Amino acid sequence: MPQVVTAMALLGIIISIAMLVFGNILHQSTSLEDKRVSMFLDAQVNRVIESRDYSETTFDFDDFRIELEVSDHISNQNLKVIYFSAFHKNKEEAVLEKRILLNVNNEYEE
Amino acid sequence: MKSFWCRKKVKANALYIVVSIAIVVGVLLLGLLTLSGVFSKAETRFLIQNKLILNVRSGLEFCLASSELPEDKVVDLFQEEKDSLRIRSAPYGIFTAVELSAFHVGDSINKGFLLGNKSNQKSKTALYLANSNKALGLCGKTKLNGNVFVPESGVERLYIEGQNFVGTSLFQGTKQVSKSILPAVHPKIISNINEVYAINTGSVYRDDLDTIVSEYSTLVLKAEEGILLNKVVKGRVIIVSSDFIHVSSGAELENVVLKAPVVVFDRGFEGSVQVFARDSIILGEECYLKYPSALVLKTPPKPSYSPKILLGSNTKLAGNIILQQSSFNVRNNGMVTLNKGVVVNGTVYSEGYTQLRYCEIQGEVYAKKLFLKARASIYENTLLNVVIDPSRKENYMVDLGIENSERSWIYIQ
Repeated sequence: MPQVVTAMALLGIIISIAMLVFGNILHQSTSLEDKRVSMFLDAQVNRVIESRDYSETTFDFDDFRIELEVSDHISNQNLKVIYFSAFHKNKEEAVLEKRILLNVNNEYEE
Repeated sequence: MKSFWCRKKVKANALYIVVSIAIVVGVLLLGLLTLSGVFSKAETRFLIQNKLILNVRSGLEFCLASSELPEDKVVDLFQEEKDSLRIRSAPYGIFTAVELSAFHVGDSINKGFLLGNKSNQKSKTALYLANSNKALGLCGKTKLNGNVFVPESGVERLYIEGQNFVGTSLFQGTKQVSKSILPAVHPKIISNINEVYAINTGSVYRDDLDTIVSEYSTLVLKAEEGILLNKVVKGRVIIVSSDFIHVSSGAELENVVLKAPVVVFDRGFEGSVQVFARDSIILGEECYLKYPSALVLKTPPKPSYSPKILLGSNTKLAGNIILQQSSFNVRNNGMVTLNKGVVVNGTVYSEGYTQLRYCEIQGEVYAKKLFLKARASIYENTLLNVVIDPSRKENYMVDLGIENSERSWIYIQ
């Protein structure tokens, strides 16, 4: 009888440690949600780069929000520094991307 | 008296099983931890690389917005002391080669670009003909779709080879009196051209190699004898010959610079190439020099021959033609000849003679003197069946900075 109790206790400890380790690894890995947010953020970055339109500052999606923060570049007035930040609904920042973009449309003046 | 425990053998099957399970679980956990560690490291590396790629892209925009590119400089992109980028630039023909290196601890990303310089204002000049005593004569289906700068004697209709001028107006745009010398090409382009002509050393050109590729650094290959080019050459490669370069139609050239006294292209050649010559540049029929290309001929001060740039029938060129000569001589002046069916998208700049025959220039023409050899006679300052239309010049085309307007960088490749 005592060996059965010892075995059960050991088994419990082993399973607990295993679950803790497994849970910790799962928690540390990138979530699918973050990946999805990152994809949407990339799409928005590309859209802004193509249109060179920095006027719209917030893009709302079902369960997250993408914000644009635009500022002038310190060393060159023809450049804009753009911070793209994606937030979950609980205000937690998911992904951040920053880019330097030209302030002017590269089109000829006729 | 032996105790109960001593007398009776303890059965520990359950413990054995648990220890076995513990070993199996331990191995699984170890594997899981190792995998997690590897993936975590890979993901961190991926994120750093991704950040470096984005920094290189930001660096490209930074270069496009800069008025002057540094030869070698490390810049702090976002002024946060986190994202450093090394910018190196050097002339590459009439363009500028830029190498960007974004780095973070041990990781780095390098990317090479080719940038050109162009005016922010689109040119409306169709023809600038330097002032001389002879008026500009137009005949046939000549069309000048832009402003003209002509000698004081103006523009007149001519009748040559049984063809009168057909068209409602001689030109579409304004007319101004030109000066006796052509307006200067932008000093930056002149200095780039001079740098190419100053190249005198390089690695030995080997004829046995069938492919030459150099993506980042500029590779200079030099031969003392003539070169028959029939191979694949791509990237930042400058081929120099002290004699001649003959490019066969089977050669695959991409962004290559060729420098030799004489450069000849076989009929039907296609590729993008910048040519720098002293004596002559001859393109056979139906060649296609893709963007970004350029033909530059800088003549010696007093040549004992007539330097020439000749584009054979139905040849297409997406780039500029520059004929530089220090003074207009009594004899042995350089000549740019565009034959029947030639289409040039870019600028033709000739400080010698310019002979345009049944061709189209989608851009501007700057000519010291026009020349036309017809069946019966030779005519000066005359155009026959030539279309010059600056509005059809591609927006991405690098210009020669003649009009002194504000200029900006343009991404080429």
